[in-house]
Order: sequence, then structure tokens, then C-alpha cells
Amino acid sequence: MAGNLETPNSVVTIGKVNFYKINDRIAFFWNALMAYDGFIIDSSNATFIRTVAREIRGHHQPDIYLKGIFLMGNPEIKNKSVYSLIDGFILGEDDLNMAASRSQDYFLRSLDIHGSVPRGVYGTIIKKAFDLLYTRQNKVLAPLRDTHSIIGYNFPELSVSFEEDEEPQVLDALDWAEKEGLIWPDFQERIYVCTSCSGGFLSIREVCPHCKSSNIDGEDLVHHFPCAYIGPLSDYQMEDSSVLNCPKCNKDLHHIGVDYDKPSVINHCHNCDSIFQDVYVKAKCMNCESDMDVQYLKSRNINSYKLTKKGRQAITKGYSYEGIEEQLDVTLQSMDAFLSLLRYDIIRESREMGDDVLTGIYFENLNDFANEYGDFRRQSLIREIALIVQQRLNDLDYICLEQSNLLWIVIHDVNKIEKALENLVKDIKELIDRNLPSVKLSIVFEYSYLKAATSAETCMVDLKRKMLVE
Amino acid sequence: MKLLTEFYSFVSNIGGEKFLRYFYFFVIFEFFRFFVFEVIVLLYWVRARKARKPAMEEAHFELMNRRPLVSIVIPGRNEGKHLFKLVESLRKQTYTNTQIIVVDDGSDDDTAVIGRNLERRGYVDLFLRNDVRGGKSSAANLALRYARGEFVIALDADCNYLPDAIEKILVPFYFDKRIGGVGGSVQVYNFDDSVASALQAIEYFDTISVGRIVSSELGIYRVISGAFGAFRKEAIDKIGGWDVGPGMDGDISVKLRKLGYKVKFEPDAICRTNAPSTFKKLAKQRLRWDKSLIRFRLRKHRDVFFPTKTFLWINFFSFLENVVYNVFLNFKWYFYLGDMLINFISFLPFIFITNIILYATYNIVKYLVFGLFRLKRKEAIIYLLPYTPLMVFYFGYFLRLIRTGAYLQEFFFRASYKDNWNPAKSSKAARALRI
Repeated sequence: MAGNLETPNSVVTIGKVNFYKINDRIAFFWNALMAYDGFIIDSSNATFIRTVAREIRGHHQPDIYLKGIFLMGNPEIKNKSVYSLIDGFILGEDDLNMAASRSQDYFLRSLDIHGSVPRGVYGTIIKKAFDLLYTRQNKVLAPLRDTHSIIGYNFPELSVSFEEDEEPQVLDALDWAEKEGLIWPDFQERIYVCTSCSGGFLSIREVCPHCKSSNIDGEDLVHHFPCAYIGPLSDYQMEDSSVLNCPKCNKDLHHIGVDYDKPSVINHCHNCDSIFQDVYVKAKCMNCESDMDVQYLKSRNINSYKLTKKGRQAITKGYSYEGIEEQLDVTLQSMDAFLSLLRYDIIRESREMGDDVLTGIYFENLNDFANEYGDFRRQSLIREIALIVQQRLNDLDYICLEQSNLLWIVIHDVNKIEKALENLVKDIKELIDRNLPSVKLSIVFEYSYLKAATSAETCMVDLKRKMLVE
Repeated sequence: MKLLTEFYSFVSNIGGEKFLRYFYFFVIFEFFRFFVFEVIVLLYWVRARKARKPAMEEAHFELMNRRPLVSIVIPGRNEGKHLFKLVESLRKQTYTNTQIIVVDDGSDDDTAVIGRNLERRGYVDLFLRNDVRGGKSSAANLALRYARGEFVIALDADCNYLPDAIEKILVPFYFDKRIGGVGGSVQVYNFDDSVASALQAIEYFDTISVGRIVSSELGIYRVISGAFGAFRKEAIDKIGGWDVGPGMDGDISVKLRKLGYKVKFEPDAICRTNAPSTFKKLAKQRLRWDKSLIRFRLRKHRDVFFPTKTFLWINFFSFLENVVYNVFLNFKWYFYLGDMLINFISFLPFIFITNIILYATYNIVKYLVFGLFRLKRKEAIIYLLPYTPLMVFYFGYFLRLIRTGAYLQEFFFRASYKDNWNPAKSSKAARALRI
């Protein structure tokens, strides 16, 4: 929307308050808009109104995103989220005064806001939304149903900072803020989202447990009491009669409960021709097309939020970082840190002869697992595996994860390394058998004693070649 | 002391003619039929078995070469606790091309959870559950409906099977294409649990297994055990599977025979079952079994005795032998008792004691002689030997009284239709149709 701002009709002045009037005929520079006290959108084009409102609220400068937005007239807008982004309508002279008064209020309250930003990836975004809440005097951060959002809901004040397919991150940001005690949730709804992309548009269907096809049909089983025959209803149906006839004793069935009953149902898969009673319920994500078992879907609460006292104080006095360290149950080194430690150990090895070992444990089909159960479950699984590994290590040993499916471990002064690793792999397999009996994870491991003559990188490349290629 | 002297005098003066008069029931009906005759047939069987060996080896080769799919059907109610052990014993089988179908007949315990779990883990191929109980026959028929194998093997969930049991029970089908059903040998697994189970272990071996070897050799074998029976799928489909029980195992064997199929016993195919460990439970089980003899032999399949279109002499003799030795002689024994009471009341104590001694000796000798024909499980022989003298009370009095009660109940009151082994709705419907 670059263009010439200095069009005389673009500025509306009410007392000391200057509004910039935005319409879909005249372009403008965002940075120049900072000089105005508020914005009036003068358009009947709903898409334009939505786009402009989102851009203002999504802008990175408080001098823009905190300003009041008012709509000229009362255009028909289907997307309800727009109403959460604007501050009012201007239908006449009185409304202009109201807009001016509100804009001044917003400005005055914005002066209280502390410049600090919460730490973490969502810090800036949270701050923007909180500043908006604060200047609008504790307005509730409420979810709106939205078919454009991939989770089916949006939080307009926060969602403006994300693309529609990034909506799940809004929930993550809110969870984070809630965990920090900055906002207080009020439960509205629980949704289930895709384990892979967090999409909320899921097609839930009953599928064949063998081939996972949804091309299945169920039928009642019918038990004929006198002859003990039992089979699907179709066995009893005759082409030329509506009367049910027993295929075993050739007698007609008369009254349910008297000479026959329907003790159960049976399903038939037209795809693989298998027979089963217990259907699997699968959820297909309409966004990423992942197909997953419903029991593995992630559940997310959709809440509305209010600022807590701590949250309000944080806005005006700055954010405290106490207690917001993430509690890690397992210590995984970054690859850089791991390499540094490994290099140090190799140097040490040249001075004192030890039995230090570099080990790689490669999970061959972990990607298949992710396809089936989703990335979230894969991460949980890896985390649990890493925890098992860590429990078997000494304080000086260290581990890191490469590309989500390769664990590197340095073990110091180890005896019978082969046996130790076999036990480790056995424990990992037991963990998987216990929790995910249907998963057959293929695990390959290799190890090499650290030698002064071999660099850390060479040592790792050699092991990786053995595990991945040989 | 006086009694002993008199007893000695009674025994020493008895002579051959009087001996036969006092103990004709033992000599004619027990000793000759159940010992001399069976030993003769067993000796014949040993020879015939040796002669059949090359053909059986060829049949075995053909079986293993063709490896047909075999459907193993396991119907049951509240049998969940046994399922894992059973499935484990099936996984250890030497014959592996199987389709395992478990049917839960309206259990009210954890059977459904256990069965579904086993199905998910791939230990059973198909687990089917009827939410409403329909009886064991309907559960077996449901499994049969979805059985895809060339042969169907019916098992009881509370049994376990020697690793070669499935392989062994299938061989006869390739030995003779006219064989429609093969019964496996059932042994008592918990023989050391109680006196009741020890006595049943002896009975299963002496009377049931040996009896079945003999009847199979003579071509009159008529009860394929419900705990371990194999069927040609085509044959069992023709007869429409199992009918309303109790006594469904004997019934299905007769139905096969009436269609002209041969029914054989395979002593090498061994299944081990947990026998009732108390006499009370045993009495309940035997009452059920014995009632079914009247219901099926004398009522449902009485046409075997008449020249109908399905008449076969071999079936006629099979039934005749069954009815004579089980029903007729059962009541004949009371006749013998009356005879002794009326004619030899003064010698009755001595006749009674001598009978006990005769039977006890007979049981020990029989047990040891039949032991020579045992194929497997020799380890229990010594353990059970001390119990063999008790067989006179077990077989001669306990089982005889139960049998008498069962026959009378079924004759006059059709009690099998009231047995809660089967749901009332099925029994009522079967009774209405006189089946």
C-alpha cells in the first residue's frame, strides 16, 4: 500500500485529534501513519476493511498497532473477527467526537506501558496483544469461530500476527502466557487437532483395522435359536421375499427374541475383504492429510482470557523472568556443545588412556512412526528414549540428538560396552513394546573407542556410515 | 475273626460254576468286554498301526507339502483367563498355517478386553463377541461361518495342546479322504490336584482313550471330543455345523457318520484339559454328558436304528454297542444287585467284598497292561498307580449312580433342555422342534 499520503481529504481533525482516513482508492506509507492519533477506514469493501484492520493490529510499531480504528458507516462484514480489531463505528458527528475521545484515552494509557518484552519466541506477539488489552481496559481475549483458521477458531488480537495456517501457534503463545500467570483462562471449548500440523479440521471415520480403508460395511449378526446357526443378516435374506429364512434349517424366522435375536454386529472391508467387529476410528487431517488414530489426537482447550494482576503489572512495570525456565526432564546437548565436549574428551584421551566410547543409536523407521502417530508423539517418544539412556549414564556422560532419529552418546570408562548397549537397546524396545505394541521400531547401534588420532567429526562420520549405509 | 474265617471258607469253596453265578456281571460284562476284548483289539491295532505306518508317513508328507489353511475355532464364555496360555500353546505348534478364531459367547468378565487385545497384537486372527449369550454351539457356528480353512479344529479354551497336536490331528485326513472328522486324545492335566482329578486321569486313559482307540479301530468311534476335534470344512459345512447342546460333540460326530463320512480317533494328537477337581463339579459335568446320550442317541438320532435312506450297518452297530453298554448294562447292574439280594442274601457281604477285590485287582492289571499301549505322558503312570484300586468305587458306584440319575431325568423329564449350560431360549426352541 505504498503511495502518496498527503492527499488533503485523507486527514480528519477533531479538536486536537488527527485521524487518517484510509480508503481503497488512495495508497499510503505505514511509517507516515505513526504521526496520526487514529484511523478511520472509509470503505464498503469488507475484504479491504479486514486487510487494513489486520495490518494495523499486526504492525510491529506500537505507534500504529495501539491506535484506534474506526469504521466509517456500517458496512456489512461477515468476518466477525474484524469487530474485535476495530474500536467503533462513525455514523455521525457524535461518533467522531467519541472516536477522538477514545483515541486520546488509548494514547494516555499507552504511556503507562513498560517497554520490556517477555522472553521467548512469542514474547513480542504476546506483548502486542497485552498492550492492546491494557489500553482497551481489560478487554477479554475471546476466541471466535473461524472456518478460515486451521484450528477452527481465532483470537483476533493475536491471530493478526500469524498466518491462518499458523493459528495453532496462537494457542501455544496463550498457553505460555497462562503458564506464566499473565492471563487467566475461562474454558469455552475443547478441540482435537492433528498431531502433525495441529489442524483442527479432521474427518473422523471408522476404518478397517487391517488395511485402514474406510470402505467398510457393518451388518447385524442373527442367531437362530432352534438350530444354533449364526451369521450376518444377509445370510437369511432371500431375493424374492422379505421374510428371513435360516440357511441351515430352512425355517422362517418369526419373532425377534422368540426364535432369533441379533447378538452383535460384524463388519466387512470391501478393500481387503477382511472381517472384524472392532473398527478402528481414524482422523484424517483435511489440512495435511495425515491419517491418525483418534486416541493420539492432541486435545487443546479453547479458552477466553483475561489479564491477571500479574499480567497487568507486567505490562506497566516490566516482565519478570523468575520461574519461567523450562523444566527439562532430560538434558540433551546441542550438536555444537556435544562436538566441543567430544573434542575435549579426545584430547584428554591422548594424555590418559581411558575407555571412553562414542556411541550412535539410530532409529531406522522413526519417520514411519511419525507418519502414523504424528510428530508430537514422535518427540515424546524420543524424549522418553533419551530419558532411559540418560538414566543409564554417569554424570560425566552426555548425549545429543541429531535429526530426531539419531542419538549420540559419549560414555566414559565403560566395561563390556557391547553388553551395556545391548541392554540399553533392550530397555528401549521394552518401553516401546509396553506402550506401543503395534510399533516395530528398528534400532541400529555402533560404537567406537575414542582415539587421539581420530577427530571428533571423523569418528562420527565413520559411525554414521556404518549405521546408515552398511 | 469269625467273619474272616467264613469269608475264607466262602472263597475256597466257591468253585468255577458258583464263581460264574455270583460274579457273572464282572466276568461277562466287565472283564471280557472291557479287558479281554479291548486287549485283543489293541494288539490288532498295534499291528495295523505298524502296517499303516508307510501310508501315514505319506499322508504326513502330503499334509506338510500342501500346508492347507486350518481354522482353529475357540468358542467359550468367561474363558478370558485361559486365552493367553492357550494362544501361547498354539503359537508353539509345529503346524503354523492357521487362522485362529476366538468367539466370546456373551462373557460377563474381562474376556472381551483380553480377546480384543490378543487380536490387536496379532495372536488371534479374529476375535468375535456376541453381546448376548447364545450357547456354545452358536458361538462355534459363528466361528465356522468365518472360517476360511480347508480344515476346522475346535478347541476348548481351558486346554493346552502338545506342540505337535495340530499337525498330528490333521494327518488322518490325508490318509483317507473319506474321513470327515478326527478326534484328538484328551488327557487330564491337573491329575495331581485331588483324588477326583487323579481318578479322572485314570478314567481318561483307561476307559476314554483306550476305548476310543478300540472303537476307532472297529469303525464305531462316535464322540469327537469337544475339547479337541478336527473336521473337514466341506463336511462340517454340509451338516450345518453344531446343533444346540449339550452333547454337541457326540451329536456332530453322529451327523458326520450319517452322511457317510468316517470318524477317527488320533491318539498321537494330545490335548491336556483341566478336569473338575471336586466330586460335586464332576457330578454336574457327568450328569450333563450322560443326559445327552439319551437325548441324542435314543431320540434325535434314533433313525440310525431304522432302515431309512441314511441307514448304515456300521452306525447301527456303533449305536447299539453304545446303548447296550451304557444304558442297558447300567440298569442290568441293578438287576444283578437284585438277583444277589434275593438269591444269595446270606453271602451278600462276601460277594460284595469279593467283587471289590476282583474289581480292584482288575483295575490295577488293566491299568498296567493298557499302560503298555501308552504313547506319551508315561511320567504319570507311577503317580496314579495307587489310585487305581479306588476306581471300583469311582466307576462302579459313583459314576453308575450319576448315570442312572441322568438317564432317568432325561427319560422322564427331558432334563437336558433345562440345563443352564445352554441359554433357556435355545433349549426352549430346540425342544419345541424336538431336536
